[in-house]
Amino acid sequence: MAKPMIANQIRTLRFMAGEMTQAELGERIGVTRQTIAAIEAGKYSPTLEAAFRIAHVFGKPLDDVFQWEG
Amino acid sequence: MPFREKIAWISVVTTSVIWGGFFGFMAVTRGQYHGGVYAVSFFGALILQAILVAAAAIVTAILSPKEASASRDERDTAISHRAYAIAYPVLLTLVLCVIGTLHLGMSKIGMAYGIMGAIVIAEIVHYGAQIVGYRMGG
Repeated sequence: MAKPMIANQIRTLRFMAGEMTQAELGERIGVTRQTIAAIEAGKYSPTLEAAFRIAHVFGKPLDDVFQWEG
Repeated sequence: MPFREKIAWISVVTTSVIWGGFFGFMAVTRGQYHGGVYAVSFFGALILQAILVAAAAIVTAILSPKEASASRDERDTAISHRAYAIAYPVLLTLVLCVIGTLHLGMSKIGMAYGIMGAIVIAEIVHYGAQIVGYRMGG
């Protein structure tokens, strides 16, 4: 399988946010736990809006959460 | 497994089994029964599938109520759009092929069943594409 072009730090940020669960993060941005799992694993690229929402939850700028590796 | 993937599995299995059975029956008997038998079988298959899908969906929803009540998110929508984009050309191609059989002497009733078969195959492709989408992540 091709390496995902967009890397992310969601797992680390969830850990730093007191082991926030994927379900909690999903609930806060309005997606399912499975969608968060797919984003975290680099299998699904979120929309720009969802990416901003995730960054907002962690209080980080977007490029601290997602990095383009193309 | 996401709730919508479970529904896709339920739909693909019931569609394949019930309509596979119906068209298998048609293929094996090759019109040796009265047309009414096939018509009754057709509506029977239609009702049976509706009942089975509804029952399985209700059981699935009872087992995971939180997921069942969650609204469709952006990944569900993207997967659904992609599945339709794959299934639609399949449906169009099959319907054109069925229409083409008119020139080979296919009866109008045969053509109607052929179009029904095309819809069934397109539905299986649609649900199959959804399952692949969920399995691959998005």
